[in-house]
Amino acid sequence: MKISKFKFEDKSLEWRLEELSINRLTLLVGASGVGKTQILRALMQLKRITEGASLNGIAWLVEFETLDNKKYTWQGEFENKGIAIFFEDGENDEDEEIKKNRPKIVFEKLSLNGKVIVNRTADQILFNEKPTVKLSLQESIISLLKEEDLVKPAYDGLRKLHFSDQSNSVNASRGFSFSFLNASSLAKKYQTLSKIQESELETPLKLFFLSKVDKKTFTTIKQRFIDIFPQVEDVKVAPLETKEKDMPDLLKDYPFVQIKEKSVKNWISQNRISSGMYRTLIQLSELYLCSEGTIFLIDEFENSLGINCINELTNDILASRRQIQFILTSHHPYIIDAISFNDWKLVTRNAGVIKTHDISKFNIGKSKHSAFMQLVQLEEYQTGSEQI
Amino acid sequence: MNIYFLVEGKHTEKKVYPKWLSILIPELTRVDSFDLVEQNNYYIFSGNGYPSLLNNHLRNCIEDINAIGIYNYFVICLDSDDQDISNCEQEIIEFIQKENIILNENTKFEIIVQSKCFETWFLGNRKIFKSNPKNDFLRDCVTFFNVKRNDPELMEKPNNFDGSTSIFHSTYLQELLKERNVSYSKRNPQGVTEKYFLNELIKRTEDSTHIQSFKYFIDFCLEISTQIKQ
Repeated sequence: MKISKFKFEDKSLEWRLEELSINRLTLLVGASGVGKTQILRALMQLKRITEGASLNGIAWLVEFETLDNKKYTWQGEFENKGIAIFFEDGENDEDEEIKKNRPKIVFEKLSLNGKVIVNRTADQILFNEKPTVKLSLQESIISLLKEEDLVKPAYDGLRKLHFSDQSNSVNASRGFSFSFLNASSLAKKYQTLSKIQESELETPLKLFFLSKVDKKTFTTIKQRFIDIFPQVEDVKVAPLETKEKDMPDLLKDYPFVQIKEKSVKNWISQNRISSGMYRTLIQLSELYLCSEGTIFLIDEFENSLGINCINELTNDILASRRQIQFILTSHHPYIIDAISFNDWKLVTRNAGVIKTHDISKFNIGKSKHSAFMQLVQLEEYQTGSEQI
Repeated sequence: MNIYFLVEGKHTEKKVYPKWLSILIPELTRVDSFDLVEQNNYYIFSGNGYPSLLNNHLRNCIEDINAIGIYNYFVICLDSDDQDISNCEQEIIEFIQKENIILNENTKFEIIVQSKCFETWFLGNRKIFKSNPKNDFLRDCVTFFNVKRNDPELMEKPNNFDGSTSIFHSTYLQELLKERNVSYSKRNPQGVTEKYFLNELIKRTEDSTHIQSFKYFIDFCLEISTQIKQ
């Protein structure tokens, strides 16, 4: 799936993103504080809405195309009940009173290939021009009608939004939330690369099953990793070999990512691998193991990556031939220069209005200076504000 | 008359020079891209510090200038830091020769050395000086070197100051301006860009032999102004 256009507004927090057009690879550049991360988070809100979340004061418009070329436009708006904090994160609340108080959708529309398929007002939903039975006022039509053939591809597509927060990715993904009691039945479930790709497993677990069922792809990833870190001799995903007697049973069978370095006797386990190395391995693995049509949102792509892996990972992203979309943010000269300036969007913010600008309007590309150096000259890049 | 400025700093120079140029050579108008110069325009490019200015950007500047073909001057503005001015100039000239970078013959080359750094010039404003400041650090600065009486360009840094001489100069300046309630930061040097501030610096060069590297810049502007009027 590929998103081509996105517009967003949070009426309760009084900010909005003006229409952003998105390429297969889009790099958001701009001063700190202009809202690059906010854009990524706003995209992730779409996913939450498709999952049934009621988000106070949010209005959105998104255009996207699924893997089988269905072009959807989805827009809508929740009522604004004031400051948002009281309404957040209440989705799992069973209390009927609280449920009833959640912000309602005031308008929503889903079109497929230019034809409106669902049209909703505050009190009625028309699906294929016919009113539906009474449905939740707080849930989006994609969530409510996801079993319908016309809506399902949109639901499946938007679920492919994947936020990769590099500030704590290392720690977050190191613990497995996985019970190994049914390991053998799971192993049966993931017997091919595509089954692993389409699963919702965490990447280290995907790697684990891959190492069992598709040694060729596993070796490709491993080899690519060793290319970047020549001191590494081998990579495996397996339970730890430890002599510690007090290790809980539960952990004994857990597969952990481990690497073997040249001239170092013991395997290095996941929690002791350097954060840059671990991230590189996970990012590389994701390129091969993510579900087809994934949209990666990667904030501060350079975080914890040394110059040895930044170059390689950026190149791998640029070279990926799978149907994956990337929306990245970065401040790093190498990353910015490695990505064609036609794929940059310069982000500015004036008060509550976030705008993204095509680089073509700034005359970049004519000079002998690197594109990054030309970018640095712009007042918009230095100050974060649009120069009016 | 078209001029290409390559300046060392990221923020201060790009804010101060345009403001000063608008006062000193009002005929010159700034353009946002190097290829937009026509007549009486200038373009200013930040080299993101030294030595990256030299190693990474000087060649590209000259290639851009040569490609456009209508620049009368290529001006490099940089801090001398702890070097003396002639060494600093020499280093650039040698670099250009060694790298075999050739500036077209219609464009004159000018080096404006800010000795020891851009902020040193601002310290030349006697009006901002306070001989009895409230702040302890500033009092120590004044005891160490009185920038009203002596030439700021000759000021080194105290032995117990950990940063470089340039950082000392800029800290001294910031403390002085704070004491005077003048708004100033490297990013937002508003206060020093004002006309009265510039006039004070010019006055200093007229009734003393201080801040000579600043005087060199002023003389250069006068020369440009005369050429435009001819």
